Amino acid sequence: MMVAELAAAGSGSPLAAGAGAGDMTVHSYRLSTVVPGSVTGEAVDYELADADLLHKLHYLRAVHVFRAPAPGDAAALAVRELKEPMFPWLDMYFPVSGRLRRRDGEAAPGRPYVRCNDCGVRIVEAAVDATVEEWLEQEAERGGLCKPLAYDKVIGPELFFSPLLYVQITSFKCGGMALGFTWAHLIGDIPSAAACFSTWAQLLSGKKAPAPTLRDPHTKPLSAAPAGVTAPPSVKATAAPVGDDWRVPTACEMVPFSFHVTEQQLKRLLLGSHHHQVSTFELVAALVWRAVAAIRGPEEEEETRTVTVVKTTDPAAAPSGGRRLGLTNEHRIGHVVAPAGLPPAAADVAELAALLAGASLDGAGAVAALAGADDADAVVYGANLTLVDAEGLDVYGGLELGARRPAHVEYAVDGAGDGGAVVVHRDAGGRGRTVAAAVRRGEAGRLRAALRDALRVA
Amino acid sequence: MNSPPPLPAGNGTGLLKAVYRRVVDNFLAVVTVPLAAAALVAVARFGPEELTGRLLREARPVHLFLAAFLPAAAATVYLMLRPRAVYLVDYACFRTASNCRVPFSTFLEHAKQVPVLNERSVRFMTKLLERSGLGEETCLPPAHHYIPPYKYCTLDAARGEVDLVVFGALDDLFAKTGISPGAIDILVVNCSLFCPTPSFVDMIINRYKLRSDVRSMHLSGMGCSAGLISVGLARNLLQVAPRGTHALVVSTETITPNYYVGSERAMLLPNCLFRIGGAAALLSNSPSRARFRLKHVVRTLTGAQDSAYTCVFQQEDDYGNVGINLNKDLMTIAGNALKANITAIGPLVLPASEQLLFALSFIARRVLSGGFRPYIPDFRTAFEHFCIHAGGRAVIDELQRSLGLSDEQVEASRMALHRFGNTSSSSLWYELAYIEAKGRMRKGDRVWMIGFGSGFKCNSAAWECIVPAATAEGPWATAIHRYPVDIPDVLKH
Repeated sequence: MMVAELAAAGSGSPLAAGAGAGDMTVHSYRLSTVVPGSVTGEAVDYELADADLLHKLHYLRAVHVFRAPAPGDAAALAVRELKEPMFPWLDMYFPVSGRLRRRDGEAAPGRPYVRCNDCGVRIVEAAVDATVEEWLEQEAERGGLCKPLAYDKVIGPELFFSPLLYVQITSFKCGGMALGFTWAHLIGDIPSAAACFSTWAQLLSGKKAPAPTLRDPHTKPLSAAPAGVTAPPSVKATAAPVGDDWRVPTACEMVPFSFHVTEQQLKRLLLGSHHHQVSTFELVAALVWRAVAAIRGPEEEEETRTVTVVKTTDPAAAPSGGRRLGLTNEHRIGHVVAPAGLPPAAADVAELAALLAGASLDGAGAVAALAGADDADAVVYGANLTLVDAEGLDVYGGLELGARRPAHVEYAVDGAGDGGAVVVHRDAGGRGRTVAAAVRRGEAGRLRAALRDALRVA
Repeated sequence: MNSPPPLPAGNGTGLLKAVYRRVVDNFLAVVTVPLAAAALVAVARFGPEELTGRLLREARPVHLFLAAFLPAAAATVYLMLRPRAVYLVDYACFRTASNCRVPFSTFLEHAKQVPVLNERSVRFMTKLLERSGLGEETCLPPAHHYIPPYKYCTLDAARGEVDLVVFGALDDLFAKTGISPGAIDILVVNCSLFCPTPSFVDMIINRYKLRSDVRSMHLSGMGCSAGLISVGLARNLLQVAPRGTHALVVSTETITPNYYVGSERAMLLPNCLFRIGGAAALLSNSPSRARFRLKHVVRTLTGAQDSAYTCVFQQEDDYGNVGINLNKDLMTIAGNALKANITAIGPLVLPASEQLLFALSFIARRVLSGGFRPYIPDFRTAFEHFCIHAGGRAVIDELQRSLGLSDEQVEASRMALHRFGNTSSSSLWYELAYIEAKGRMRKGDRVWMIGFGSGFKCNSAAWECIVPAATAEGPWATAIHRYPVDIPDVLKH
């Protein structure tokens, strides 16, 4: 489907308060498949580590919105041109185009693994009857508009036929486009996913992209944990086994939420906490923690004391701007419990931030080992309120298509549990922060109001 | 004259057979050499001057004139009335691109999303594909990469496929031969199931700006054997055309409009086996720059029998969906059609030794009517290479069995089926390209192309190589180093 070329963005029509001039509904879905360009091989299996399987119920939603090209620039990209570099891209990342199977045999029966049969990734073409400018205005005002721009599907009910990656290409009325990736967390963590998308963007821009180092497909699965070890509080088992339908069963509906923290507001926060050794992530996360604790109130006071902290980048380890070229779940997970004298709903932001900074984190592999049985249906994001630090990722620069940089990027976690999951990453300018979360229905509005108040005062 | 198979060592009957072959094949020489020797001896005994003296005394001017004129006149008439030889200048096949590739698992996943296909149908298609002999690199048109595969199969999409496949092959051919499109005098296209207005030939004329007096034909609905029908038609036109006429033959099948949207199992087979492909060949009646010479085209139509007529039949299923029904006794009918074709082409290509054996065996079976197995002529004495239509694994197996061919001789067909799938009428050209890419073609080698198709038709063409291909350039360029592959009985997926 050709992305229409019209004049540059900006319809100029003023938006009525509360109701957008453009309807934001996404429609006209067309599904197709892209496969690796060359044959991977016969019966090539990619084993999933315990850390991978720990995250099997979660998904990364990465949405990048591009403005329409200006009249002097190169024409907008057609779907065909967007698909073209995907063939060599999937040659490099062949496990992503495989499908899940369960082992049969005596060793670890029923354990999921990926059969690299070149089945491919799903491409979704859609359209929305609004311009990019209208959308950006609505997003700033209401938030949560990124969710329809990525295809909302989970793995299952048939593992055999469930793609591990969906790429949605949404065309805007003005000629702009949105690229939404729905990535199964089990195949790789957030930096792995970001590196994978970036590789595609580099191929599209005509650059040579370095090949990822993938786990050797023939390695045996890592051994199971010794029995009788208690699971850490950051990981909970689902109430009932999910079988082959890999979504987290939640008591209440989870809705998307997004919020922007400007550079000014961030500076004020930092000034307010200069006597603690905290980073911007901890401050923003603490703000959210306090607001959510206040919203959830005294009935859930016990639960909101504990938060899970996930750090995607290790400043000591990765020198290359947080981009890890491979498919692994190596992020670090930890938890923080607010002590009895410091109820999160009423605490000082700086003190909560200090608590978060002091969290002890373990690698995902270690957490998986602690969590026990290798095919347990575990909830990591959302077992408690989960705060994810993605500040180290260059989410804007990574998806530059030729000369075009995204106008808006949002990385969020889908398939989060009742606790909710909050991702903090850099904004377009690099100095502010975008907060993208999955919260319970009814919390979004109050959370927005609470954060606005807190940032005005702070 | 090509040499017969080499002498088998140490085998009594083998030696006898070889001697028999050499004697009968060169029967004329075997008979005339002794006679010529006797004549020479007689002349020597009589003395040459006496012989010529006697002749001159007896003969009158009229006799001398007739003795000189009649043979010369007969020779001239024979040479003039002989049909022109037809040559293949070069050919090119569509090079499939990796962005059209459909692995086995993707095909099944898409089939599963077709609402009308139930579990049983999908299981049937799975079993079929596992045993089909197709590999993981075969290609479908871009419209079939959508879910469900038939939803965006519009007329535009079909024309897009023609653009991709046919124009790709033609661009290749024009580049290879260096001929300009304005030099094409005859254009024959065969595409069975896509018949737009303006026609296929008009699409080519429009795209390549052919002349306004080009003699053009589109053969529609003639099935998978139509490639050789087109070659035969082009040959007929070239034989009566002035020297230096060029004919362009394009063979293809457009897959886009023909997805069967039903669940009738016998009609799901074409969905599973057919893949995109196309070939263009430049024929001429002058031997300059020609690479092959076309020796015979033999067409056998068995449609007069009802069973043959209905074995590949386009029809509507119980719900009104149009598809092509393949009958269960397809193999038997193909075998019979092949026998009929062999009977027709045998006398034209087989050496005298084989024909004599076949005739004796035929007479023996008729007269003695007891336990004689029919003698199958050894076609390896007539051809070095075999291009059998890659209709499916069963077809190739059946032909290998009935013609007594070795694995190496059907390798081209099996590998073309594996790499490209059933590309209908162009499969023969992909097989020829395989043999050339492997470097097995030599000057003087004879090639037998056998095509099968609905009707039921069995068509044969016999070619002789003048100049083998210089490089492996062509549809096999990127893959030939991996072939031949061992094709498993059941594909793992």
